[in-house]
Amino acid sequence: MVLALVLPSRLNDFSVVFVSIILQSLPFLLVGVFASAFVQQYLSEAVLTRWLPRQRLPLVLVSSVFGFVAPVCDCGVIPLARRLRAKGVPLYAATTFILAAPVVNPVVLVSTAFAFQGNWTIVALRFGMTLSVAVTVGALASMLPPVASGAKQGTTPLGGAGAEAVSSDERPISPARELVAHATAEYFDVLFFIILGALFTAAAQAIVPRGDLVALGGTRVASVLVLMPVATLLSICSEADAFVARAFAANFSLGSVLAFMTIGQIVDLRNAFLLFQTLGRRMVFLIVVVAYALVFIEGVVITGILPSL
Amino acid sequence: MTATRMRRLRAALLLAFAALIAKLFVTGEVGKYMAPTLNPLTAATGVVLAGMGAVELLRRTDHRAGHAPEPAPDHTTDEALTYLLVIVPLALGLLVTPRTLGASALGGDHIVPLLLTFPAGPAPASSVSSTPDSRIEDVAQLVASLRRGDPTRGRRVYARGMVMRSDSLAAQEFALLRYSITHCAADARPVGLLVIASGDPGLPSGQWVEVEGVVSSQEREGSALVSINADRVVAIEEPADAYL
Repeated sequence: MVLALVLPSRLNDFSVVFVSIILQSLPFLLVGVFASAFVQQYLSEAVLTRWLPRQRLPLVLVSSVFGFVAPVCDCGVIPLARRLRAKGVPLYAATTFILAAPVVNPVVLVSTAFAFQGNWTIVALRFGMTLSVAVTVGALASMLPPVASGAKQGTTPLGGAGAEAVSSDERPISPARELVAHATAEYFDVLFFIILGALFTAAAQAIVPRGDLVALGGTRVASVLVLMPVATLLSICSEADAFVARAFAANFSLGSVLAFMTIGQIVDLRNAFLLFQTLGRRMVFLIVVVAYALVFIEGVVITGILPSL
Repeated sequence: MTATRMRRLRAALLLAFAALIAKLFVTGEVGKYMAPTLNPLTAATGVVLAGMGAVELLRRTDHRAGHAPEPAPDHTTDEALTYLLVIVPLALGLLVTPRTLGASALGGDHIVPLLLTFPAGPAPASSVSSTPDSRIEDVAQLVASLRRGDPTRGRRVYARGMVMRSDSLAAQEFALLRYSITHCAADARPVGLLVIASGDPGLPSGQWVEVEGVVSSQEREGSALVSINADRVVAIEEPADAYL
């Protein structure tokens, strides 16, 4: 017997958005957890130490463009960053990578160009705005004193279902199986927070009608301020947000549309819980303050120079 | 919970996700959540998850084949929370028959700014006559024609969508609503057309209809709305290809 429940309209909308976020996240999450497992298994700390710059600023700069080597979206970036952290990559470098990689990667840049009909000025501005936030936060974070607690933030299991990972008592017999075991442990660690974020995002989308969001575009003076929290609330994947932003472009200024695409990949509701668990409260606070301030200023300046597409 | 039980549960959850994806493809419900372009990726995800589930089960077998007993991990509360939360999307996906995002996702008061408008400037010459050959077939073709700047005013059009009523529209008017998605329902963007029927069609918000008529322009709140002067409005079931 197959159950086939039909939900009331508003609840159906919530359910459809919620399940669709999970379904959309899964493939990218799998890429992230397998990349993380690969780093865990095959990339030694010695190799990373040899490859990465020792100076702070060069390391921040390298981390900000690492997305070209590992093009993972916002669903996959955190598992990979956690593993790099566990391998000794400093917190500020991992943070820079987390902030930049969802946008500063070839897949997202091409999808942005596609959404805006080949307007490479918008692609360049999006690239620049994201990079500016990632490098600024990374540089500031590199100057912060280390956290007092003993454990490295974001390196330990999150305490969820993947916490026991691959225990020493029952090592899988083949490297391939070990890789899958690491990926599975990471998958359940991260999935918990993805689902939590999806719940809040779907609820926000169900509560705040899309019509009201579009209608806000009429207030052009504050359009940058309006679209930034909307981006945080909607939490759209970096490979799809340009298409939504394109729809806003009819009612909002170019600066606000760029602010929407930039802040949405840095401060989003869907990844908020995971970000807290991975980077800690202090770093998340720094990210939110710097990102919102910088993106707002950049959005307003761009609106002044280039009011529309 | 022992480590073996936990792995069994994890394997079951991984396989349940794979089963959910399989169910969505078998029933065609995947189209209610995801854009068709992502179908290959979603299907591959199901296969990978099934493989991961199988490996989890095999790990249990390895242990039974001769390794030492496993210590019970002390994260019981966290695990229980995780598994409970993971069950939520599984239950919704497996047990609920989804419908396309409805008119309620839009709100009802600010409907006019959501409706499709003609580009500003002089209207292109309506050189195309209303012959069956020049009929616009559904909303996607109309949107594409508008984007290309093709003349659309005066052409016959066939369109399907949801009725959306609003206090700001007259009794014989309603918005014909469709959603356009890129990846999934979470990035849905509304596409609305003003429909002017010959009388009050008496259809509730959310009802799927097919409309036939002629494309025209209506001035509202300073915008030239893309409108359909409808000569036929018929209630239909929600189509399988509900998203644009």
